[in-house]
Amino acid sequence: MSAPAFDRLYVHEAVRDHPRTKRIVERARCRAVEVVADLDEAYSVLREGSGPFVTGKRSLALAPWRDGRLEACPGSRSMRCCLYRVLNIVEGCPYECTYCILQCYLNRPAIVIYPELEKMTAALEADLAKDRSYASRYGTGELADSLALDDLTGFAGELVDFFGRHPGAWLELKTKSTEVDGLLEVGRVPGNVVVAWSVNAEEVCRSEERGASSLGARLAAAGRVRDAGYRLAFHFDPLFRFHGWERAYREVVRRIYAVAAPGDIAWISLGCFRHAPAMAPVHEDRRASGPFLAGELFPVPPDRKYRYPQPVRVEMYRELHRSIREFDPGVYVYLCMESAAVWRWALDMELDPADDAAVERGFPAPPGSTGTTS
Amino acid sequence: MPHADIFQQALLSRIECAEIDGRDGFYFLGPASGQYLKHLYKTIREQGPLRPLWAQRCAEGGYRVVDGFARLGAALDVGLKSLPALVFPPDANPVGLFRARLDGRAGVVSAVAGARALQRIEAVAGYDIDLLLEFTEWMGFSGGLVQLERLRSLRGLEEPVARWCEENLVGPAEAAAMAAFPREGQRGLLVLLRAVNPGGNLLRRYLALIAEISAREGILVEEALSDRVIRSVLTNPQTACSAGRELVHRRLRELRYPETTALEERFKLAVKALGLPETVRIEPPEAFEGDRITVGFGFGDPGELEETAASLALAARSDAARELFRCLGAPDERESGSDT
Repeated sequence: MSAPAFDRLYVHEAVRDHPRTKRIVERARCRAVEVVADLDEAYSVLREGSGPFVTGKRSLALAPWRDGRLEACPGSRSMRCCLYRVLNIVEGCPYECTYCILQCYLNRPAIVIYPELEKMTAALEADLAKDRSYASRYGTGELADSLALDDLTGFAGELVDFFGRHPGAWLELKTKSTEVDGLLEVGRVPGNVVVAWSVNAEEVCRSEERGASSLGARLAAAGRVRDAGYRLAFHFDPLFRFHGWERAYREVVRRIYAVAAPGDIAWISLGCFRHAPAMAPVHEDRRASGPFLAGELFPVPPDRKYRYPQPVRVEMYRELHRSIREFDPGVYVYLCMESAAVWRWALDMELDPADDAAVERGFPAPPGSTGTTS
Repeated sequence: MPHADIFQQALLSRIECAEIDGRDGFYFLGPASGQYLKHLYKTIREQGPLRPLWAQRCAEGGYRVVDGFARLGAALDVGLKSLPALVFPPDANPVGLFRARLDGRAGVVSAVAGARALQRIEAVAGYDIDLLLEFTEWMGFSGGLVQLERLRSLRGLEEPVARWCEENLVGPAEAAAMAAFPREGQRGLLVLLRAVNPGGNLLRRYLALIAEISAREGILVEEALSDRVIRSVLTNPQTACSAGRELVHRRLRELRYPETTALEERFKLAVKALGLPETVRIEPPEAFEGDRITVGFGFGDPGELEETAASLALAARSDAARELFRCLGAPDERESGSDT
């Protein structure tokens, strides 16, 4: 599957001559390309169209680097976080997942690409040099799909090369796409690069993840990168509670392990559907369209995000954990944004309340790790 | 000032009531309120019409009312044969006339009447989004495109439901939610609404809950409404009138949140099984989130404190106490076979 066509491409004049800009402009199948001095002005023109959610999927902007593109995952108050470190070189995603949190985080009516990757790698060098008691994991999959636009940007291959030179930290590329050609062109696959797929029950993929690849296609792509030597990871996030969820998610686990052997998978995360209060009106409009968004969600303390009641989440995690363990007794399974109580009751794991890095410490060490991070 | 010129074409004259086509509702904006009609009848009977009608001469003869539908009705009822009228020629721009008619009426046009007016504007001017947005605003429905689309969606309302909405001054958001229901669902809903007549916020909650139950369970709206408890409220007019609104709301919540309802019930049963004095309150954490259960009680003297503490200590060792934590998600040790 190649990257979708875009209606407009805005190029900030500060990056117009950058080689990656030229490459992206050449590869983008764009009806209109415009060099602008102020992207905010371009955004206001776009906003007059059909709203940021729609227009934002069909427009691209190439923006100059700004500091702060490398940051810690914002996490959630009082919830245990995996300390994923986020590389925001793309913001926005061409897919239209109904539950997507970016609908409230990002309000720009365009997908923004920062072509100056060399500035990101410089920031990475500095971050890697920091003394941490665990091996850091970096990824581009927080505000974007890591691979959906890779045939335009080519970022993935460049980052794989970079992390090949820094074996003490993990690079995790998270996707719902099948855009793996760039990864397959890499000469020597480093052991510290993990290609992760966000997976869901077949019916959820079909109904809620518009534009993303089917589950079967994602797993087939996972098989290809595994064959090329990459480690894999899978994220069951968001898990939805619906009639037949047990069978549906068990089937996903079965299909994963039909493609991958236990040692191929570096880690698996589980996270039940949740959303910020600001997303409530968006979901209200969409809730009546199907069973998935119409679950039993309530604003839950301490962060007031909407979640399934805790016992419901615990039951789902416990069930899925059990299914995974049937196939793979050793893989690290962790929970995304859950409390210590949920960890204890769902996974039978006690997290040290005094240790902020307790979740991170459960990850396997990268094969090139020597006790330092780079 | 695109519409100001229409008055240059108008002439004040007296026209025969018999020549007015009272059925032509192109400029109709919904029925007048009972209070206004009462006032109108009184003044017309005592002093004759105090304001002229606005009427447009039809090309084929006769007149259509632009403004003054209620006045015409009252005049006919009290037996007037003619009325003073500001008469516009047949070629007067209907959009301009409609705009002038709406002046000062923002906020008094019901959603259903507004939707119908928009439909008529669209019929003569086409889908001119800017014009339709202006009319939406003039009728007092702020909210731009969202509000316009809501009003346009009211074309899907079944006629009896539209009438109920108009009589009860239902807002565009709620009326649009009803219009999104299929025909049979709207009819089932109408039976419920007529019986318990929920207003404002409660109507909004009803509609959201019904839509969500239908989506979540994959059932039709009418199936959701054919629930045994709801039917029993509807078939008993006395209950429907007295406690019907609240009973239906509670039942809709139970149907919408069945697992949470069951959880709350299970927690209550576990509390009961503890066998504590009634003065002791045991509460789960908010939204069942966390691993702390709250116990509260008052005592009048040290002896009462000692007695309650002893009952609590006894209760803490029971399986019912462990059941409280299982309600929060703690594993069932009995299932895993471990000795607790």
